[in-house]
Amino acid sequence: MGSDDGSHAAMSRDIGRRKRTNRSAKLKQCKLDARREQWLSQVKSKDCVVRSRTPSDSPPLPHPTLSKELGRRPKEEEEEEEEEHRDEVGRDGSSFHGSEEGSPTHRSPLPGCPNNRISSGSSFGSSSRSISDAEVEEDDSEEKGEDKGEVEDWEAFADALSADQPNPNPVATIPESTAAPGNTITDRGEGLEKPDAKQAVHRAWRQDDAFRPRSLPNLSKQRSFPASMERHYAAAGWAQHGILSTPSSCPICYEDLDPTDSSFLPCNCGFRLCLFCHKRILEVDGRCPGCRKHYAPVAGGEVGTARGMPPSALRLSRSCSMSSRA
Amino acid sequence: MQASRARLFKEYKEVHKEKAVDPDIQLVCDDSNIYKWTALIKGPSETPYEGGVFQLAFSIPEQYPLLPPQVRFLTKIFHPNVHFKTGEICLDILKNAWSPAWTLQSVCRAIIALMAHPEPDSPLNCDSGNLLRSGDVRGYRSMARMYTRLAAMPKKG
Repeated sequence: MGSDDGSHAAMSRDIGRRKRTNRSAKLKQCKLDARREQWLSQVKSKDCVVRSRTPSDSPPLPHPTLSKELGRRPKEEEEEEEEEHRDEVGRDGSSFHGSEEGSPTHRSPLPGCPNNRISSGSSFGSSSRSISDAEVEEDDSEEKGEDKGEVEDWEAFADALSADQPNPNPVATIPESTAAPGNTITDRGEGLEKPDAKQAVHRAWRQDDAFRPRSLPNLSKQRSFPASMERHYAAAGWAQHGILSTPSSCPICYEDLDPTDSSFLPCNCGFRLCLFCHKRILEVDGRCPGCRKHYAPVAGGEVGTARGMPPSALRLSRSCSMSSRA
Repeated sequence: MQASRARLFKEYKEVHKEKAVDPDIQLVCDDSNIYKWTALIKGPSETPYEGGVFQLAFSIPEQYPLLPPQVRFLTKIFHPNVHFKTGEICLDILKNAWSPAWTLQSVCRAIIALMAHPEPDSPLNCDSGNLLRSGDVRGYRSMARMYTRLAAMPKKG
């Protein structure tokens, strides 16, 4: 028990750190949970009233898995968790103390955010987006032993939830204080049992958040380039925004321009084309399709960029701005 | 070459979209060969070719669009820049001034423009060129009009 306490404390500290870094993701979760809650209350309200073993003063938990989980959990563990929870709350800053502190046990759902409760109590299944399909199945098989009756419902649930997951809403409007308590518990519960999966998922989320507004699909590609290359593309991308008439497809082959292509300006006349066609033209007659001038000497060495030797970010952006004026 | 085929397919789609937009041009792809196209163009107004419909044959190289399509008139036309017998067209954009950015559609437009603005200084049809170069615009117009009536307009009666 003593050693257990120690490890748990360490765990919770770790979780607390993670939590702070991932707060924006949590806000999104909260919103998603609100949607899910709506859906759940429509479908499953009768189921939960019967099964929930939480204190009678709390509203019914709209999730069978959750209530089952609660019932099954050993008292000892609960106590431990209680302790950790306090610990974490204290450490984590006081943003969400208010209503949570007053409740006798942290399991009694807050009226303010019942949805968080749903995702919180059970470490798998209902806590949704961090759980992959494989995990869900695993969980499912685990539960089959205990009570067969619920499995089907539960599966339907899991499917619906995982179907719900792929559209994260980037706009988070729910205040932080609402989101915090439930998510704390989520963190703890999952930290105990699946720390790795949780962490990985959260990192992915965070990356999404940070980079989604910009060129997300291009990221991995840019990462693989040397640093100077990266800078060069960034400058090009920036300059590109000033040009309204950027074609979406290559005028030569009519294929869609990818971000690399659309930031590629081989000629001062501003005629854009994909790298592939540019290479083919260089092999044949080497003249810009837009102005019919020869690429290499006239364009002032910008052909070099096409061959993977960026002259400098500065020069490229200059050429871009020239073409935007033209 | 796959690139030319892909591009021609795309142009085919574009043409079908654009049909209503440009009523003077009708581009038709050969049923079995996407490298063979036929175009019907209307003679531009206020020219001796007005009222005529001229048929063009496109033969597209495999390196298209890096190389220009070969175009010739199937319909007889009296024009300084069109060979009277073969229908070959002397047009810079079909030769050295070709740009891959051109399309079959834009080539048709260029040919219509050429019909309205002949270039007597680089003639394929010497008779026609000589008429214009000697300043006999009336003679040229009347010859061109006659051939348009003969070859490019539906027969009367």
